[in-house]
Amino acid sequence: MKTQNSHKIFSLYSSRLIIGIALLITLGQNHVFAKTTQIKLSTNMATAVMEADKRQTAFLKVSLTGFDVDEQQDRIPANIAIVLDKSGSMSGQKIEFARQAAIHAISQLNQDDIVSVVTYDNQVQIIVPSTKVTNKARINRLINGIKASGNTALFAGVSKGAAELRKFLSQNQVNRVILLSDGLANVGPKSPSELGQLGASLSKEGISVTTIGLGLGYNEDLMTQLAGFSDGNHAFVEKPSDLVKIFQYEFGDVLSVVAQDVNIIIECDDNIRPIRVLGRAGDIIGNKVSVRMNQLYSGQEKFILLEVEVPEHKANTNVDIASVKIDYNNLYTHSRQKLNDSASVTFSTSKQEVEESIDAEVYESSVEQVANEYSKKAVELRDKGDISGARAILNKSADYLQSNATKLSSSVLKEQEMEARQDAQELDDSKNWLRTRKVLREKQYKRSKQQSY
Amino acid sequence: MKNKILILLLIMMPIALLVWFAYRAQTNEQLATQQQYQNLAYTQLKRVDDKIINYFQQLESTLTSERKSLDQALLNTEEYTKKIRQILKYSPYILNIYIADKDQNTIYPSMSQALSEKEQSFLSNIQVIIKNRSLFSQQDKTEQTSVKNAFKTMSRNVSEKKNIIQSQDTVSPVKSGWIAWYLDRNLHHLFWFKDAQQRLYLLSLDRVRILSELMVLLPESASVITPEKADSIALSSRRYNQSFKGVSIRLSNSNNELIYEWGDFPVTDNKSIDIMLSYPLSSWKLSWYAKHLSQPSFQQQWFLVMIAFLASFLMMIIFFLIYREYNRKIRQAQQRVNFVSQVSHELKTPLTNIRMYAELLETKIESLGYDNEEQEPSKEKIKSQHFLSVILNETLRLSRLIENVLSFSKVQKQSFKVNKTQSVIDDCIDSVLLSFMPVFKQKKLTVNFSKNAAKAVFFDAQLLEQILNNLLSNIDKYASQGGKIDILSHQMDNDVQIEIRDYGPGIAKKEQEKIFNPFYRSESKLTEGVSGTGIGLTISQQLATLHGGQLVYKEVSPGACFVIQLIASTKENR
Repeated sequence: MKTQNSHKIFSLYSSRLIIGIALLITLGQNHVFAKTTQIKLSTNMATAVMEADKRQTAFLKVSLTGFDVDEQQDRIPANIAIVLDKSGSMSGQKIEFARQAAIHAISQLNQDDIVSVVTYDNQVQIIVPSTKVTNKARINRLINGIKASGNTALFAGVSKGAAELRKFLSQNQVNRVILLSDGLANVGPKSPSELGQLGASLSKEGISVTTIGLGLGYNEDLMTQLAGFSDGNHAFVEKPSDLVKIFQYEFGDVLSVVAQDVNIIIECDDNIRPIRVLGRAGDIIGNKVSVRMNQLYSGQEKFILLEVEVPEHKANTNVDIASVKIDYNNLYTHSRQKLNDSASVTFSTSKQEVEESIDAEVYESSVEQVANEYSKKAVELRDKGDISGARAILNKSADYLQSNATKLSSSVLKEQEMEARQDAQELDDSKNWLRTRKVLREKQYKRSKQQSY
Repeated sequence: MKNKILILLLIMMPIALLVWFAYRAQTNEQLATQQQYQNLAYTQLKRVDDKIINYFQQLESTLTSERKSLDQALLNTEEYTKKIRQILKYSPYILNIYIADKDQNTIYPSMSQALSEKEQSFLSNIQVIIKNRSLFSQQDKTEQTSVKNAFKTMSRNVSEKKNIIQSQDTVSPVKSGWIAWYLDRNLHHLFWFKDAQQRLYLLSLDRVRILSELMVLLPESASVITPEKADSIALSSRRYNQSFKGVSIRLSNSNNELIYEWGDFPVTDNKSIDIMLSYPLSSWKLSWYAKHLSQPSFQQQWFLVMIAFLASFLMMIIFFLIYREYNRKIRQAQQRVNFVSQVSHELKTPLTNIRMYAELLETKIESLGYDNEEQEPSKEKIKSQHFLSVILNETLRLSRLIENVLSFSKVQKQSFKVNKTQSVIDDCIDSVLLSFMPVFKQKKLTVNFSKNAAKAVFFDAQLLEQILNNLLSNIDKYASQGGKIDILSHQMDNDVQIEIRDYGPGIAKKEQEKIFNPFYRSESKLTEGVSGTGIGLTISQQLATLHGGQLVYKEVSPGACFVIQLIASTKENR
């Protein structure tokens, strides 16, 4: 029953997936390996054939797709801490919908799952201490007793939420803090970098934090950093009435996790220099790049896009670019699994050959991520007050998107181009900037992390 | 007047002193309570501090064991670097590691290796610390180390100022310790360790992680405890929270920024009990906020108590004075009676003599007339007889008075004895009436006596006479204008009843109850100008009671009526 549910939810989201083509291919392949319970790893260059005798950069895409779960299989139990901001600003409709959303979401859990509810204002209260979901009525009663008042001790709230998870922490279940806040953290550590650091630290234990920003009062940088470093999701909810829906998406995601503690190590060949990882945080040490993901969801593709510098080569030579090693904790087989892959390119003097070799899907992802980086840069500039600079970058990004959209005849990139153009216009509107910035941060986050909703 | 002031002073001085001492005692007690409360707060805060110290100790052992995994790998090998990065990847506490050999050569992160950005900035940040070897080696040389938790502050003229505080945990030889330092206004911690080869390990800790774990360590606020809630909270933690009831505690850092807060007291003002945390969180502060601290002292309440105390004290004095005045009156009356009764005793004998000789003289004068053989008694003789009768009457009155006083004091002392002899009631009444005849004749009072008690019975004639004397003399005194007295005697078996009624002004209703009280004289026109002791009716009633009967007032109009009831049996028995 539960798996059916998650399937329904999944098919609902699939239409929203940005990388439609990628999904189709993945599904197709998944069909072939329907019975396998293994992550699908694929490593591709955006351009399998590169121009000879030229120093250039190239994009390498490492894509990981969670396997489909058999309907007969039990899903992986979840350990969820719901951390609710109940500061004064949450009073009224917001807290009402938050309670409703939490209760609704918990109704999807069963008695193998563990849930706790923590609230915070200027102090922290543990409303439902970590417990198996056996008596939903009692949990609901406790949640309904939450009233809003006071300040915002966000850091402490998340810390205590994580502590509740720790009581039953296991690598064979999904451990997640779901934070809902509508305000700025003003008690305890309050900077985005500090919260990001907390997220990174929790991630080391296999805990992800999903952050849901409600209304226009919260700090989107703080929320995206906290989610980003712990590899959770992030959502901007403008209307409290949307909370129920978002909680449902989030729980759908949580309940579809198939693998955890995913380590990806990309070792570039000599002379190939890694430049940057797009979208995600990665450690580059020498020619070695390591990226970590907390989890992979069933049927969802997550990818790492690495920009590398390739020295000049003679035509018709075949050069290895990088070898990829991944290892992860398979929740269904309860074992650690390893996968290897590699990527190489050939060089050619024929421009046509180069053009034809383009992997449309990988190329699209690269363009998308590059444009996404532009968008982030634009927000930075806008924060400094440089509106024209920000607009210039967004326009540049839009032009870049446009040319590639035509080249690849990609509707996804076309859509992103329209967005960029609209964003460029909205930079001026200082009245709406508060909201626009939150929308931008949410979009950037979702692109970087390939979030399903 | 002077006396009054003196007495007032004498009364007020002790009270004032008492009040002063009580006040002093109260304030002292209050101070003591406050001190006690403060001690309690300090103890509780210290307990929190101990918890934090304990946390750091645990952290220390965690870090030491995490570091140990390095010992298995050979130095400067690929595997060694891998091990280090493995630690960095999975330890939630360690952000960076620095390792140097005993000659202060950096082993990791060495510049010969490829470094991540994070490692590079770490290396540049800790230069100031690793250059100051004394932070790690000083204790080895100076074994005494008299200063525990010594603080060393040094600053450099670099673009960013770094303060380094350093201390040692154990007395020499020191092998590990904490270094607290400030970077970007934030307190960071380094844990250093020296192994057997004098190799130095410097672990840079995740300050955010430590903060987060400290918060988890500290209690959260109890939300409104519903019955369902109560069951789910572990008993021990509830007890722990109990000691923080009505209290809020705040943890703030060296910049005085609020880090964490718990408790159920809404913090409004800044009055608090503070302690500084122990190393390595020194300069951080725990503050205790409670109602006790912000409340004005009990002095106002105390003032009210004092007023109430004084008021009740004054009431007591007034009551005491009234009571004493009343007692004084009673005592005075009794003294008067005592005195009179003693005097009466002395008077009784001479009075008897006077009466006896006066009676003798009366018969003498009578016979004198016949000796002269004159038919008409001379003017002189009539005059003498008149004088003599006055003497006799007054003597009788006086002896009745004395009799009353003596009976009264005897009844008071309970030494009165009823002496019953056989006689006839009516005869007894007759004899009393006879003695009153001259007075009644003078005041033109006629007596109607209906005799119905002619049977001889045993009773105390003297007692009855005394009652009758009192009643009749009252009529003589107050009701003579009525001109008539009705006396009715009645006898039935052992009961004797005698009614004596006059036609005077009577007794007002509200007075009727009081007339039998000793020394009570009804205050009206009736008693004006008439002398009396106020014990006549009292003694009459007491005597009647002693005789097994009673004396009651019977309401009639006009006049007054007293009814004597006695028990007088025909047989002699007691």
